Amino acid sequence: MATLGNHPLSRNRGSARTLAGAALLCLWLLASLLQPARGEMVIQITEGADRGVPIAVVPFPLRGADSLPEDVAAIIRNNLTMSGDFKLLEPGRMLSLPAFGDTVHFRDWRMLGQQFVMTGAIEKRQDDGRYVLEYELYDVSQQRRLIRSRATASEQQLRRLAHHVSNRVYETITGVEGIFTTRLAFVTRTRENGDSIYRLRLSDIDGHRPRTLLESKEPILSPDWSPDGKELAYVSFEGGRPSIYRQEIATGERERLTRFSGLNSAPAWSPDGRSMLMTLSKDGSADIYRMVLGSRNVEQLTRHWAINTEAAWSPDGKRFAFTSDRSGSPQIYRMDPERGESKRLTFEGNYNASPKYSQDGKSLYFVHGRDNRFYIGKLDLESGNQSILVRTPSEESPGVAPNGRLLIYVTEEGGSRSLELSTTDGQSQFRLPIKHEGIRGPAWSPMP
Amino acid sequence: MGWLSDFGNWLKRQWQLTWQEGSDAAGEATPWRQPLLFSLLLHGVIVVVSVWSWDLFTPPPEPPEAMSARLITQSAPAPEPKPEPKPEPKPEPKPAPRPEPEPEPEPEPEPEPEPEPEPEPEGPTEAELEAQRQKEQAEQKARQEAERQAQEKARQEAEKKAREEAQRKAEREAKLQAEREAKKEAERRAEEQRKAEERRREEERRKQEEQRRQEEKRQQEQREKEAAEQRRREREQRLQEMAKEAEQQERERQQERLQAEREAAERAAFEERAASERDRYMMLIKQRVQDNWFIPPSADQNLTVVIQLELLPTGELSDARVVSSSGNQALDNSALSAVRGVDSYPVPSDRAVFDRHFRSPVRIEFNPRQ
Repeated sequence: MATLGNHPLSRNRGSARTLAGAALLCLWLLASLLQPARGEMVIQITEGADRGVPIAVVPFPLRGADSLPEDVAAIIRNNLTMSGDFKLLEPGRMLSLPAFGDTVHFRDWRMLGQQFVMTGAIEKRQDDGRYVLEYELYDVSQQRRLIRSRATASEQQLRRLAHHVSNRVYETITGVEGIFTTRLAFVTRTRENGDSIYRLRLSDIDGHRPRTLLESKEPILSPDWSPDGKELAYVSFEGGRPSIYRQEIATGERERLTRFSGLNSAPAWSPDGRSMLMTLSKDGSADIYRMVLGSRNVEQLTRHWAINTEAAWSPDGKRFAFTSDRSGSPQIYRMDPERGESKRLTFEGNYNASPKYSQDGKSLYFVHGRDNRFYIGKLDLESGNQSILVRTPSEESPGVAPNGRLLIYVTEEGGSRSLELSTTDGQSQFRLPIKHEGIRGPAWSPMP
Repeated sequence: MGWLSDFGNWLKRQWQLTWQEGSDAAGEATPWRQPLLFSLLLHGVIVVVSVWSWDLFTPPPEPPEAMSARLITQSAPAPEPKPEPKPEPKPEPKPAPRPEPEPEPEPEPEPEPEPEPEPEPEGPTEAELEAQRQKEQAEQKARQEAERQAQEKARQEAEKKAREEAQRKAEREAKLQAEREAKKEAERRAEEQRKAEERRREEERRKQEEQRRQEEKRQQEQREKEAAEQRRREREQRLQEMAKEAEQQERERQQERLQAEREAAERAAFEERAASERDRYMMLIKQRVQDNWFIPPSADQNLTVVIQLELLPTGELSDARVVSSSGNQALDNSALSAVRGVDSYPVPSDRAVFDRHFRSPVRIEFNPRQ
């Protein structure tokens, strides 16, 4: 028994115990290091201020010119306001109008409750007539400069310059890509000389700088942007029959993609840009087809006696959502084209149609009809929860901002229709200065 | 009877003397001696008187005739000593200085009468012969006796005379002797007294010495006793002090315990209050920061940024920094802006509570719930 202590096994046992003890000690040390120090308080905050970020965009003084064709600061203010994420301070309430950092008194801005202050100055270069904007963004709380930059633009580009600077500011503060240089496509219908004139139009996101891409006496429907933002697909009833076209924006060149009998509608560019979903009824019932743009080959994806239309690709291009009345009322379904399976997604109410995927693919925006009224609704794909965001007079699907932060849709007020932006949480709306009696189908361009 | 009066005077003088001596010695010592001496003296006198009176009255009785023969034999040598009266008084004074053996001479005469009856019982045994012979003898004797009586009478007269002379002489002698004796006695008494005094003094000294020793002993004992007492007292005092000290210590311990309990209670109360205050102010801080936090749209529930604040008791923010980045610059910045945008932090006005909970860095986790 006396030799037991020297037995190799017992030594091993002892060293194993020592190792285990050391390991435990290390674990304990690690745990104690990871834990907050004793007595240290931890406050958890999961909710923020229930309002936009207060920001002051101080009017930019101009040098080298008497006046500016565009009020750049005002455009920036408008953009930030439009985003729904900011609350702009009116220039009239500002205590001072500093142009540069050394004249920014943070206390003043803090007193005004501002989180950020943007200052800048524009100088018109005499040699080339271009405008130079020098601007700075300050964090009032931290008394820290976040941006100091300089940009130049021609007189025609001043608005675009303003959008560009807006993007920069927006991105810096929110961490989200700005959409102020994106564009809108929409269709207007006007009555001119007893005729209805349909125009496919483009504009900046703020509704300014509109231009007409296509004008027709026949209806134009469902514009859809190509993923690269260079083309638009739409349905035109030219010649009395609906056809799907694709048109290059820059050149205006266009191409008819379909001229099948029956329905040719709801074109939806695939995320990779190589194919397009569309609704055709060439084989009887209205079904979803996929056309490979290179070959123009059309492949039927849905096969159902009911109407299957308004297909929308998921951002990853693996599945699409569409509207079908196969259940007796329009409801939203989802289909995996590779597997050929479809699944109903909406169950609340008798009208859920015109889906659009959110930018992150986690939810769907759609039109919810109830009591003869239409609403923009949101469906959380993971939970299946449906919610109502805003009211709309149109049964058309909303446009979704490429940064996922905003929706655009038609709104109606006093018999006149216009386009309206809403944050995707429905908390904030912004009406664009585009008013047309028959405005339809706004589509949001991808990021330029 | 002139000697009687002399004797009475002497007695009286003796008495007075004795009394005087007694009274002199009185108060100091031996009051008993006076009656003793007096008694001795009186006995001596009685003996002398009785001897003398015996001598005086004994002749009349008849039976003592036989004795008278003997007295002749005695008286025969008596004239011889006449010229030497001195030796005579010698045996006489013996009874005087020794009054105690006085009774001895008295019994001496007693055996004398005893032999007298003895011849009488013997006589009746040889009555006739003896009676005859005795009768003859008696007759002869009677004649002889008559002669002798005549001679005797003359001789007695002479003897009486001589005796009286001797008596007087003896008396004088006795008187002188007595005086001497008295003187001697007085000296002796004085000596005795002195000795007694010495003894008394000695005794006194001894007594005093004894007393002193006793006193010393007593004192020693007293000292020892006192020392013992002192030691006892000291011990008691020490014990008392120890007890007192222990009591004091106990009291202090009690006090400390109470103090500790009180402090613990206060601490607990403080902790409770501080915790309550902490929670309250944490809520206030949270509210203030929350109102100031503008959640950037790029943030989602998967992102969390942790900011560490250091506050001053005035509610001012002394420092804020990102201790754990969310990886999202906008979110990190929004959190920093939120904490730095708070003008004044609600903090406990109680400095202790502040120090307890708000002195160390406060962490705020920003995690948007979307």
